[in-house]
Amino acid sequence: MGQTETPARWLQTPRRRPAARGWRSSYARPGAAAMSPGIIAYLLFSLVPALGTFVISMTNYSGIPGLPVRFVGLGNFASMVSSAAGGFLPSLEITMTFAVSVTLVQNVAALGLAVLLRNRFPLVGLMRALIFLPAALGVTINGILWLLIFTPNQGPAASVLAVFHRSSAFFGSPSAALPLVIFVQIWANVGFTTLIYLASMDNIPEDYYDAARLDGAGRWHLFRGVTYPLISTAMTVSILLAAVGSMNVYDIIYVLTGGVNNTMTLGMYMFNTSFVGSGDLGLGAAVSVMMFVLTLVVALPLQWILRRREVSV
Amino acid sequence: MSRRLRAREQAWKLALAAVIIVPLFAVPLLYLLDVSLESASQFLTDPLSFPHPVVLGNYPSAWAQGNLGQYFLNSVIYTVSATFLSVLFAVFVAFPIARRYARGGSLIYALFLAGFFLPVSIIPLFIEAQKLGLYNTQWGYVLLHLQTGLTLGVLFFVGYFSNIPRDLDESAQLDGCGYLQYVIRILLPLSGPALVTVSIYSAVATWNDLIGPIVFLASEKYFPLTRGLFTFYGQYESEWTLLAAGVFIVALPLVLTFGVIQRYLVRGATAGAVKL
Repeated sequence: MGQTETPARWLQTPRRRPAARGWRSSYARPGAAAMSPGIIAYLLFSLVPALGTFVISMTNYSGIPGLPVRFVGLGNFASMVSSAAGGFLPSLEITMTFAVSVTLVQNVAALGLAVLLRNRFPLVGLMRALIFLPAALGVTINGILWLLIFTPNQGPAASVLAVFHRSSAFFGSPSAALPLVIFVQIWANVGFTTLIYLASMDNIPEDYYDAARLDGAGRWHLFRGVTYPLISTAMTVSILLAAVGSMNVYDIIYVLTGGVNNTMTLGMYMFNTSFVGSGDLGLGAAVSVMMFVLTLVVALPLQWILRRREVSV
Repeated sequence: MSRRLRAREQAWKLALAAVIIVPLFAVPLLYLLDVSLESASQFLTDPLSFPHPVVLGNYPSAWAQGNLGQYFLNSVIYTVSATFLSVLFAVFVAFPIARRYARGGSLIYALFLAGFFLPVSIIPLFIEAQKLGLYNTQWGYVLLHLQTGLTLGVLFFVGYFSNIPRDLDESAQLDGCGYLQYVIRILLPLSGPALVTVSIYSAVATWNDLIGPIVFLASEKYFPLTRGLFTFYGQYESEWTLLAAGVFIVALPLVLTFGVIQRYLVRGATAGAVKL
């Protein structure tokens, strides 16, 4: 921590220089040639596949080799929303429940944790490390860990419930699975959100607080009047990241439930349609396109609203 | 506020944080360790007890039955190769853009930036992998994981390199230093922090990828730890003492290296945040 360089500055496009000077350098020709492996790899494994999603979404491409590939126009989109194929609309609802809960709870929790962990004090570093640890452990370990804790009948959570004469199938329960999946997603990512808030709070000059204290501001007023407005940029970033991330995530759900028990988010629906059973890749790609559209439809207005309430420092 | 008062407030905040964090983030891992040291029958009778007696046998069994050695080796091969290649490629793409040595440099930069906004591409990648003969091969798997390091690397390095004085290029040229030699012997040693940040970010993404090995690999002998561990879970779903030992073996190196990689992860992640 304590990294004060803002990411935006790192990623700025280089300042415009007189272009001719660059091209005349004797490094220009070998330099341009040496770019090719990276550019080819990027085109092949990032850009072409990303655009390919749109093309494949308009075909009946399937995982079965030898089946002729036909152009079907918007057929996949039509069958996706018709009640016959059925998966899209329920998945849309589950995705929105998942994304809204994760975004809200994760940011509120992270803001609270950041306030508690912002000052240098013994053991604060350990606490910060602990909440960020799931990011390093990865979805497989995180998922299996919570499957262990929420083992039905004989696991530790079940034993605790048994004390209160209750029982639950946890991830096997149609009503409990989604809240638990939401919990695990927040658990795994709250550390990252907290670190964004902490980095932003580190940049607030102590003078501001001293001045406010001289004016007789109490603890709540210090937070409401100084901290809260000055972390508004970090808030925009972490709300958007949580919203976009949670609308598209499915690997953790794959580990925890595989999409059963009302946890079939759009990402999970896309994955299962494409890679489970006969493999309808065309329909899966159409779901990807809808996820992309949904992300834009949510993220762009959200960004506009969040940016407007930012305070420029 | 007096110093003593402030220290007391800090102590309260820490205590409150610990009450939330320790049960949620430390206890589950300690519980995993606890279960891994129990006998199967003890776990079945009382899952919330401490191991009595301590059973170490779960560890060798998990290692052997889970085939973890093989998976571990695969993970290392994939992670090291994908990270090394993607960072190297990214350096050579980023430098001419940062220096405006390449015509169309800003267009290339814009293309890399656009990559962040495009839809999930797992389906086309799967089709491409099959068409190009990359499906279910180890080198193919590496190529399919260049994406993270390459995209983040180019965006990160362009910013970093443009802060390295241009005079350095010019004096190196006057001394007759060739381009490759210049990049490898002069530029790279000056770019340590940026290289480490991008490398660690790419390495963690590759190491922890679970969907990739499910979609791109079919033979068990090629599985990395993520899919290997998940397969192991599928096979021994109810034998939690064995599974806990397996998960703990896989988690331990991550927990141990975490102290070192943590701050680089943070830096890479916050830089990645700009992708919006």
